[in-house]
Amino acid sequence: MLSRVSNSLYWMSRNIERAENTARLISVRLIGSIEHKENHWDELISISGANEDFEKRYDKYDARSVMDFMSFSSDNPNSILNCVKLAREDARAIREIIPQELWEMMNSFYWEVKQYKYENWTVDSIDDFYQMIIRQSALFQGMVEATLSFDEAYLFIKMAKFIERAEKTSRILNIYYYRSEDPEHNDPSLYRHWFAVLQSVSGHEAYLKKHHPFITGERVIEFLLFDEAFPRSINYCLEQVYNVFQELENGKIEHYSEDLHQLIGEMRLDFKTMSVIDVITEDIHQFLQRFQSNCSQLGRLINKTYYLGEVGV
Amino acid sequence: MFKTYETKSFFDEMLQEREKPRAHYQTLYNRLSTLPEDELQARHEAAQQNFLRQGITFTVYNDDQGAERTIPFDFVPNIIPKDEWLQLEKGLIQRVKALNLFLDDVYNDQQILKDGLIPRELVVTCKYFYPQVTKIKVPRRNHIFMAGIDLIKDENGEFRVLEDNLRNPSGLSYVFQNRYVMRHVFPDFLQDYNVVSLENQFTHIHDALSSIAPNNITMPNIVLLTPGVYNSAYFDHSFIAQQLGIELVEGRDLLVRDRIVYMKTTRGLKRVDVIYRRIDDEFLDPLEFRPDSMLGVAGLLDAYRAGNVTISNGIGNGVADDKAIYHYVPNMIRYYLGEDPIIRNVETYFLRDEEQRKYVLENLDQLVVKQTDGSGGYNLLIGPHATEQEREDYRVQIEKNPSNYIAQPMVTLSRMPVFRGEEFSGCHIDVRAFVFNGEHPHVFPGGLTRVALKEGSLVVNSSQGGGCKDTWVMTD
Repeated sequence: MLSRVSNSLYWMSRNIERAENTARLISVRLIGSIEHKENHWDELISISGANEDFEKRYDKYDARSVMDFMSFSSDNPNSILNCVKLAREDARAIREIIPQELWEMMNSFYWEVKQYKYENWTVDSIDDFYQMIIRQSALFQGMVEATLSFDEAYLFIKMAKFIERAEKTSRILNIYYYRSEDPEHNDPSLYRHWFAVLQSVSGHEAYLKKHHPFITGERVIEFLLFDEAFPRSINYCLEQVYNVFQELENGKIEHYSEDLHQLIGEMRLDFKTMSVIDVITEDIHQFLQRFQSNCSQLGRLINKTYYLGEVGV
Repeated sequence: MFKTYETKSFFDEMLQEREKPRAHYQTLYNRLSTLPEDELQARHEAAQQNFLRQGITFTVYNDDQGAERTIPFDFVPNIIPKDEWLQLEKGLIQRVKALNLFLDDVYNDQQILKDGLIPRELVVTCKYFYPQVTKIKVPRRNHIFMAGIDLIKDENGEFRVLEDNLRNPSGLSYVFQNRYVMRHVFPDFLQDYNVVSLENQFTHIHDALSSIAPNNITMPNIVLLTPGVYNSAYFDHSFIAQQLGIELVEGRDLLVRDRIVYMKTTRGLKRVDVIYRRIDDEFLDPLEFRPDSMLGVAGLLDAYRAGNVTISNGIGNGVADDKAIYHYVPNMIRYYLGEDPIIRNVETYFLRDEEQRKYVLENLDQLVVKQTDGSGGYNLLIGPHATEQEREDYRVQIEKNPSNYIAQPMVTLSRMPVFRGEEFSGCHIDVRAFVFNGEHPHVFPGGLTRVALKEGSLVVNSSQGGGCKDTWVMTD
């Protein structure tokens, strides 16, 4: 497969996943703020690491500004609108590679997002927009599973999705953990806080099944870091990345893939050997930041191993 | 809905005269006459929507909002009876054969110039004549893998060649999309007729490309080279690559090492044997043509010269589809094949010839004047429709550089009905026929019918408000 093609597959997949994660994150916050007038909208910007960009354009971190920036701003490369646009552009550049149905879905998705009246949206109706994004992303995942041959193209899409997901779960946990450390938190508000964290990665139901309605910070962290079955826990995502890599390389380690193999091994080791107590004792922020910088390194090594960066723009 | 439809003085594809359809249109005419207007309207809109959903759009340049337009589709098909088509096929094959022999000749011995059939000066001063590619051994001496021949019908209903396109003719994908939409939105129309199917066409096209691989290798790695996603014909490129099951590459995906072309894959370099290129000659290789080209591949021509890769259509084909050379194609057919041309040209005047120029300048209000190297329907003068001032401006241009222009009598292109909501109205059409040349020449059944949607307009190009129609070749 052409390196340029795998590069497009990779970024198409990451951008769809990113759009979905952002939509869910905002939606959960939006619904939560109806009942509880807490205001920590800046957290959402911190999760995407865009405070500087945001502050250049807006005076304060109010709901409307944050939603506008994260959903529609053309200045924000990670806004939902931009993610969908980029994903569709990548899909278009490889439309002869992906199934026609998948391309048409991506194309319709783009037009739906683009035609949304984002100059005069209202808080009452905006959640429909986020739900639409989440649904379309699910449709994308479903179509990938149902129409793509399980070959290299499929594997690149899958790898990109799980890297994006793992990184997002890590960022959410990192920022939201700060607030749980706030001494002003009382028990009910902490409970609500952790419940919202679970919702932000669509994990509340899976968590309740496993732990029943006993929600503590420690257990939520354990669930989101180590759970072996929940599709957005970092451990699960990492195992998927490892499996994809094994598939791509037919289980062999060649000279060119050695560095990538080693890094994935090291990242897995943390999750195999450490417990949630270890993580909290070590300092969870440090742990997560190490994980995130490993993710960046992972991206670089994938580029290098499969020549994704070799094609000039 | 045909009550108000007038054929006027034009040849009409569908109607002999008012409310009297030609025999092969009778069935369709009956159906169209019985369907309620609002149903036709709804299906018409569904058809346009279909194109947008499938992303069969071209980018509107100079619009940073990313505006994309679809080419308007009209559901009244252009139907060609079997016998008429068979005759046309013969004529197209004859013409492309002669043009290919001409290209092989001018880039090798130039016998036709020595024999004085075509003025040497006309060939060697042509902007698209590339001495860089003389004497290159082209596999099978095949310069034209794919030709797009634009045909019109004159006022007597006789097919004529308006233009040859031997460089990068586009539009093939639209032929398939038109049929696709027809099948989905107007299946009842199709069911009434026995129409040659397009299903297996790509087998022929793939065979043609394989047959021109260098050194007769059997399973060549064929790629389609595109300028990229921002090119207005990108959909065409992507569709053809997908249907042929070949890799769609950009210049940056390729590199040349030791006179061999490779593509960059996730597993390293892979050798390329045949390049069906859809970028223009001057952008192919910055070392040989335009040094500022970002689309091409450095060293490509060198690999071509070494016989390690086929580039198709051949380089320098523009010398054969030049509007001035066009005049000589009937002569070429006689010269190379010893046959009379089956499809006639449209009469052409040369403005470099003093006598003809005098005639043209005196009759500007009745003629169409074209630049010899122009394309896409830009910058042509349609005498009868132009204003006094426009004709005057053109006259100045012509006098400055007469050999840059040709003139043709105003051929009144045939018309056919186009759906306009409450009624059908007559619009001018032309047909781009596609000829593929590998081991044997093969004419694609039908082709792309383009229609000038602007009231009274003669320009069918999509960049100038043209639309398209499905083209049916009947099997009985």
